[in-house]
Amino acid sequence: MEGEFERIVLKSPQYHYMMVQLDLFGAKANFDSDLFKNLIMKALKGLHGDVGGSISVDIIRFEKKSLKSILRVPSIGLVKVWSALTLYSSHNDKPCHFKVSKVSPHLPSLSVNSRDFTSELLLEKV
Amino acid sequence: MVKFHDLNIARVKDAVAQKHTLRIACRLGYEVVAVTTVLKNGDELTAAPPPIELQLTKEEQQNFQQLSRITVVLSDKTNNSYLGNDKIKSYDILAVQPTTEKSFQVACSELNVDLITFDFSTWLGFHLKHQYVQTALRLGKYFEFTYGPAIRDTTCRRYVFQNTTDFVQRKEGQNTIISSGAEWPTDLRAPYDVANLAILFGMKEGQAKSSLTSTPRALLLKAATRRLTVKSSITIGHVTSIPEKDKWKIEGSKPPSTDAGKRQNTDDHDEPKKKKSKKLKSN
Repeated sequence: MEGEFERIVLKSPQYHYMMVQLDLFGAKANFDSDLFKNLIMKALKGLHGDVGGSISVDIIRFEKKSLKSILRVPSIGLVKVWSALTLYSSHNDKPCHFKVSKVSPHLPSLSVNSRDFTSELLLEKV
Repeated sequence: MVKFHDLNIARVKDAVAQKHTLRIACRLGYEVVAVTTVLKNGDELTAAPPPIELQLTKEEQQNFQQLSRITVVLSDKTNNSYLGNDKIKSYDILAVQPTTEKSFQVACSELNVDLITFDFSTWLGFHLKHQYVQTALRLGKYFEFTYGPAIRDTTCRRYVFQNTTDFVQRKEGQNTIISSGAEWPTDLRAPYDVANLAILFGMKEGQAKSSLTSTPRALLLKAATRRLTVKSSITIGHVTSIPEKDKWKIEGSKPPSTDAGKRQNTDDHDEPKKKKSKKLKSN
């Protein structure tokens, strides 16, 4: 049993992973991952200027249909990127909103929601 | 788990938009929400309107609490004598928004209010003196800032950041709550987003989160003591308003003529009940 599970503790992780969804409040737009990244850089430059623009944000996955995406952000720039996404409110003069649903230093933990765990489930697994 | 509070959602005339805003707040994860009525100089004071009916699912309904709040805009000429009357007491939270230095001083020291709020989206017009702020903190008053204007407009954003960072640094973030001040659903952000934004305002991580959870809760308890108690120690209510499970507290206070016969026959296990009720009365 011991070999199956491994506990990883990162005290100062290099990257954080964010699960982000763009909400356009019903408006239609044709996005691809380049345009999405451009939007994020615009948000970053808008709030933090050139310093914000220098943060390297990578798009790991982008879903065209639901506008959901997973970002990789350096941990030092997490607060800046997150706040820039929070305060970004209009795209082409139409209201929009970045929903940040999960943030974690581990990429696999974005696939589950720890709030849904129950004690029985945990016991079963172990 | 802790509850997230947003104690400032503007009351708008459009009922459909209002419902939509509150429903979005619920979906974003807020569990306690206050709808704000703003009272400017010359406006007529009305009693608190009832909570707005929202078509929520049963599960959402259980976890969602709607409160009413009044924000009184203070200037030098405002007559403050009505702040203790029954109409004001019908609101769950009483907040004041000083617009001059003198009214700020009055709000911090003399007035019995729960919350002091500012319009941080423009130049404030006066200096927030450390001495007044300390007085307010000593009296257990709370301060609020709103992040809504920062989302709406970039010019407002500059002022919001300037004012709030200045304010947070001075006070080190204690007794501060953060709320949206939202008029439209687009102004609302999820609680964890707001907590992250508060770090940018200069708060520490723990403070940022508690300004959305435990501090507003403490504020609500303080507001309840202002509204419902005499000198923060005694509450008076009618006997019929006592819920069934608390009925035992008043059993001991029945008239002696009806009680005398029973007392002789009381079993041993009734004794502690009587003692408890006596204790409560002395409290």
